[in-house]
Amino acid sequence: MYLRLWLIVLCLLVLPGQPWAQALDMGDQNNSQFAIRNSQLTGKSSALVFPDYLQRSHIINFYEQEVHKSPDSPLPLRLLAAQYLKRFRETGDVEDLLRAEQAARSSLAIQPYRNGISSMLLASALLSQHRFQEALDLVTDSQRLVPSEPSVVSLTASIQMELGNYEAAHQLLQTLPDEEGLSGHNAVVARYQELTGDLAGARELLEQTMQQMDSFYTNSAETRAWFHVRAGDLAFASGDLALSLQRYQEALDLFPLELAAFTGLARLYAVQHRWQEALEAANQGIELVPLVETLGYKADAQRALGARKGAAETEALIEVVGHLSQVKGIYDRALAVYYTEHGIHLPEALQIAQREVALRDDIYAEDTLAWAAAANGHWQDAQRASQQATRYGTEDALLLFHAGTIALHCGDREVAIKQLTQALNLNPQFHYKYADEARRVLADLEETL
Amino acid sequence: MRLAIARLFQTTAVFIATLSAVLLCVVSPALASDHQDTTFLATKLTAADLTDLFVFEDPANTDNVVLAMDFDPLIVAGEVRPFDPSVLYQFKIDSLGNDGVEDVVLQFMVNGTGPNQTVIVYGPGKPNTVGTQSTLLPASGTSNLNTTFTTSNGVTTFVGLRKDPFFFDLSQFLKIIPDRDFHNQPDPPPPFQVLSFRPAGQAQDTLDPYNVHSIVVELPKKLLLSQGSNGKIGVWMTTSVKTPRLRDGSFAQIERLAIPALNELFMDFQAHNVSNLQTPKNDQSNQSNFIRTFIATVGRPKGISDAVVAVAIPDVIQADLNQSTGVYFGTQLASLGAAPPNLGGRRPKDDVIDTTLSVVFGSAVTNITAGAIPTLTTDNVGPKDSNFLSTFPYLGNPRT
Repeated sequence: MYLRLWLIVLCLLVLPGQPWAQALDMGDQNNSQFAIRNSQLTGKSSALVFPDYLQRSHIINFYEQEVHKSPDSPLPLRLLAAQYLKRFRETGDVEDLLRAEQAARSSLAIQPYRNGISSMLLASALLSQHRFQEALDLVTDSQRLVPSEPSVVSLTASIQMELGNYEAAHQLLQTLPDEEGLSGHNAVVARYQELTGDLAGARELLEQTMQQMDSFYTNSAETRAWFHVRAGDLAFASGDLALSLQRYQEALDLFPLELAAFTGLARLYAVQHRWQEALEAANQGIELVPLVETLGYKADAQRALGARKGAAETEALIEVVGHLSQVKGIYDRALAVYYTEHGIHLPEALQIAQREVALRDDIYAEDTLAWAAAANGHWQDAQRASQQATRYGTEDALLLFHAGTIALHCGDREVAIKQLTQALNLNPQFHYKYADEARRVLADLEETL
Repeated sequence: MRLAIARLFQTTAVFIATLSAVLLCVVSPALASDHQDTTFLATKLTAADLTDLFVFEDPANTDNVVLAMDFDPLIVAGEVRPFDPSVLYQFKIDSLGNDGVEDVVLQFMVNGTGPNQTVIVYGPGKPNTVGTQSTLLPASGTSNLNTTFTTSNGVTTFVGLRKDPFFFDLSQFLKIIPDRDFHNQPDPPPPFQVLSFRPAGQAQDTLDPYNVHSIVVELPKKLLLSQGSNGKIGVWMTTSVKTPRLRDGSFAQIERLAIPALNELFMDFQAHNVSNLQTPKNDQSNQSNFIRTFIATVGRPKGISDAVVAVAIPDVIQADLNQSTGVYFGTQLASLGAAPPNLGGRRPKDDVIDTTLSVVFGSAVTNITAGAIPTLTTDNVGPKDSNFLSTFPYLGNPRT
């Protein structure tokens, strides 16, 4: 009953219905809870980065007025859509995502052709709403977009990766020109390398690209911060926790509200059992957007620090978030991961994982399914999904731990030893409890030799 | 917590949203004259995105000439946008042989970050290297942004924010020609379903609300001429950045521009980046083809494309510094015997869109009437006096 009430209240808060109607009457929105205020920011210095985000709502206001003045002009709508998307990334206000979608659609309605950027903006908005197939249909519509244009290629490849179509992504990325300055494209290529067994190559490319992005003072602060977060993620995957910490902190220096940096920091501290710091990082991230993953780190930290009541409250919030996501048609794999790792709501975790695979059969959907199936005792399903998840040789310690554990249960001792060893070699502190468990299992296996 | 709760639908989409947005950011290509050219420039480095070049007479001193470049477009009123210290801005002047090779360059870089940025002027002088790689000449002056100053060699300089001087009814243009490239795609509607610009009074200057970054210099004509020059010059502008590929630390060109609307009207969007990375030497073979294809597509005779190619290729703004006043394309027209000798060049108030439209869709210059579409020979948007200054730096004060 408590949850149902929350659900109704929260739906009222976040589903106001007609975002475009609001977008055209935004007088109060730009002063709303979502606008970034100077007082929220503690960036090191404007010498390091230009804080473009402080002007976002002003620019949006301006374009909204231009749309009012010239409602049949596609240009202000296109520029407005781009700014809404930027603000979505900076503040996490999903209403901006819906506004961006509506603005891009309106621009396309006025100028259906030679308006490829609006198509790409629309695809980006759809992608962010997990409407993967719609996004793919849009970017592969050759009447609207030039398929060979590098930005179209990169966006299409990133959608294909989200859908688990790695061969298609590979073919697309092969066609990218060897040009300088393709920072965005490099990020997509690095993601492909990361997922398909070339973690070192991904790190090298992303570090180079991050430095390239940093070399231009006028590049967007949030975008620059995002590259640092990605570099931090890849450093973590490689077990370089010191560099990972440095990259996350740099991200926050560039953009103090970089949500992913807080999540990364919470994970980083958690695996080192620095629970108080993990709790603080998680809290800062949750204050921006209560992601399931970050809430999970908070609950773990609270539990480790002995705050059982607080941990229970956080866990209740995780369930609320999970339900809300499902209302929106988003089956958040992070929820399934949390349930599975903590041995709660296991049938529901499996259902979420199965739905996720049906929606997008990527490596991490299969991994989530494998671990949830294992937790439910469905070992054959777990093994099948695990083999799917590891088929590209992804160098992800947690994924390898899942695979190794499942292999062991299924009697494949050699594979188990190989995968658990590889997991620990990649990152000896890949998880706050599973890393130790991997070491224990390997030790047991050695004893029984 | 209520604030955070209201954001619950932020999901794992954060990663992919940003990844895809990295590819997009702020993009709006094809905003004539050359505002936001190529996806790279528009997404990654708008500070290097060139929009307009002007070359014109100093109204108060016939010994001087004025050069102006605009870049970093679509700055809204009240927006603070810094200059990027990593970008090298150059005027390039071919003053010998009309060969598309620069004989004199004038370079600018902004120094510092934050609110106290300064600009450094290098040259003018003979370039250390020609082509798409550049190194800096000796510095000749430095000052704060948004102020007028004079370098040690007599170049009056302004670098700062201005009202964008370009004027054009782009919205209507896009209704007339929704896709120049319609032959290459399955079903887009052909152009010219709409066959006229909006009438005066209804036509709208798309760029009217926006500011732009500008570099304006006024200098003695002799500083742009080389020994042996006949006084006729071709001017283009470039932006360059350092790149790991050039290990000697020189700058690599990432955009060039001169004649307004040439790229936007005639060239396929995908071809812009190729053109940006070249010098004017290759324009005859590259850009001429786009012009001929476009003009044939819109049903005008070959004589029209011959005329356009004759005045617009290579893509440089030509000026005859022996003359004291000029009109747009005047140097080329004088060479063809179609106008008396004049300085040519391009002034901020020149209605370059109408000039181009009246040649392509009308009978201006060629007297060819076959296939003419009189309703497309003007966009009915002219220069607003309030957007310009009669004295240096000539470009109007920014919108506030």
